[in-house]
Amino acid sequence: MWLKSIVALLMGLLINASLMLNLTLTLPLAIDVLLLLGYILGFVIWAGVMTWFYCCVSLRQALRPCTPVLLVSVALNVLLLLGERQ
Amino acid sequence: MKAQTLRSALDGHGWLGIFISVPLFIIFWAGSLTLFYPELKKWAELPQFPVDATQAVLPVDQVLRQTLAQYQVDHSQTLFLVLPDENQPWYQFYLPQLATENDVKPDMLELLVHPVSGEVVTTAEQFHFADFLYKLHIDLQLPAGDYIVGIITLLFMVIIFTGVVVQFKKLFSHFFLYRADKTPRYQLTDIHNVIGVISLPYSFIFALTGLMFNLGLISQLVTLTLVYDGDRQRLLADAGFARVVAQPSGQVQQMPDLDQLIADWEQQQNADAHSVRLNHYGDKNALIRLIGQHNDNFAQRIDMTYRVRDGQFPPEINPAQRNAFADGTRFLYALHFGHFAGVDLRIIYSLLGLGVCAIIVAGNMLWLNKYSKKRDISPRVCRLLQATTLGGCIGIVLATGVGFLLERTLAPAWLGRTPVIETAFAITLLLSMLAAWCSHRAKHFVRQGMLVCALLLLLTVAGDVLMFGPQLLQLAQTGSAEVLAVSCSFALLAMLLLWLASRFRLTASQQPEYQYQQ
Repeated sequence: MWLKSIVALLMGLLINASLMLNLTLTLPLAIDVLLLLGYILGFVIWAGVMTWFYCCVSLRQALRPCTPVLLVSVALNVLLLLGERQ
Repeated sequence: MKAQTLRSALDGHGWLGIFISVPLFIIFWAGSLTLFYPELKKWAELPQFPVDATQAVLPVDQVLRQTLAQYQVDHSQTLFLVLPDENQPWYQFYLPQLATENDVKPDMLELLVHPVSGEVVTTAEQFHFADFLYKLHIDLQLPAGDYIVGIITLLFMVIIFTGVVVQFKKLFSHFFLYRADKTPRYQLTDIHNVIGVISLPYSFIFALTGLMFNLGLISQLVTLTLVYDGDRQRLLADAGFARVVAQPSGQVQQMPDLDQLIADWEQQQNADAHSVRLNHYGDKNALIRLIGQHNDNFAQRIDMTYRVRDGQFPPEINPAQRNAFADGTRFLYALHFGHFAGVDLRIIYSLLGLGVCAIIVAGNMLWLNKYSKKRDISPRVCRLLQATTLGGCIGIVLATGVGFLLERTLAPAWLGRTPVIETAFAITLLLSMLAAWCSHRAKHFVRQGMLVCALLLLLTVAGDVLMFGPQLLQLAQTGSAEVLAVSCSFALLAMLLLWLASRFRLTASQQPEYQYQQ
């Protein structure tokens, strides 16, 4: 349970940060609204990902859908950040 | 939903619950009391230094000048003034002191100033127990405690989500299910589920807002690093928390009449000012920041800065457009503490908070009953968990009782009263945990705890009556009935605890006593 908890905590944080960064960089809203949205949604996503881990029987089963989501989201982060700096 | 998923969710729910139960209980217990912060503060201070709320309050300008003449105040830093209102009757001044000859910076002066006479009656630190409970709620009085509380709150949110997963199918069908005729295990399960479902929206909002206050920085770290290139001031400016700074010019300037300034501002903005921050007071570059509450909006704060040399609130530092992030987070802060409504709502909030405390205890007992029978958990660990849960939960209630009793009975002028109260609080908590470890009968221990807590509350009420009986009545007649209301609440709570203890005795004689697993 300890390993599952630690991986869930970190995976939740990473997915939360990455998805919220995409949201900030893509949505056509005022920056204060985006910050508020990220602030509220981020924690719900973080706790949601952790809940998913606890609902799965094994760590491997929990990681199966989370890893591709994180990889795709991070790739999109890189593309958006590079695009913004050019 | 698959049975295996439900089993895993239940395992996670229980494991996380037992892991954070005691700190979470402390956070909710302290939070439930903190909802009555203004009343507890008045209860501690007003009988010692009565204020007639029906008399006119002296102008803040006059009181400030009078106070500044008495102390060596460092005007180059921020002077913070809290104005009297219906929640607190005093002027509270937080004034930075000038460094001594050895370049030692003394602590900030925290003064409680009488609003009618203008005299400094004592330091605000002397009546600190309500603040102690508030700090216990937000950081458990631990180093880096706000982050620890943040992580605990995150785990609490996961507990809520896993609880919903487990209970989802029975959320409505078992909404009011309580099987009083069944065994204690079923009763505990029903208490846990029913209170959990009823308080679900409230618990969720508390978890979410608590997370935002304590882990906000971590959540914004990626945005700060990658979008703002680490420029914190720019992020704060976009979030509506830009700091207006000015360097002192060294030239003396006549300060405006604060009362006139506040009155004009309140009229223009349709707001009530509750505090003032003065930067470089007496200097040409002085800034006066007025903070208050809008009267025509729901829980909306207003915060504007007046530049003395311009004689106005310059638009470049007071943007006309409101900031969604600043307003949103302040709104959620009000939602967390119930600031936007009267005492009736705060009582409901408090009962729901105590309901969560009941869920924690019931959940722990269930988990321990279930897992103490499993062979892979050592009996010693199980016993330790039982002792920590019972001792921690009962101990925090007893420690609060000790705190109230000492807050009432210790001499207000004694400088050691605040550390003594805090130490007594910690010792009571530790002793209670030790007693729980030594005790082998859970119900008996809980009953003893109730009796001791009732005794502590009755002693506090006796202290109120014997030391300040006439003052309490006088205060109730002159617009400060909260002080008497707090004393009456303590007496009622003591009666309730005595009744519960007698009920516990009855049920204990009818049912076999729950023994710790050996």
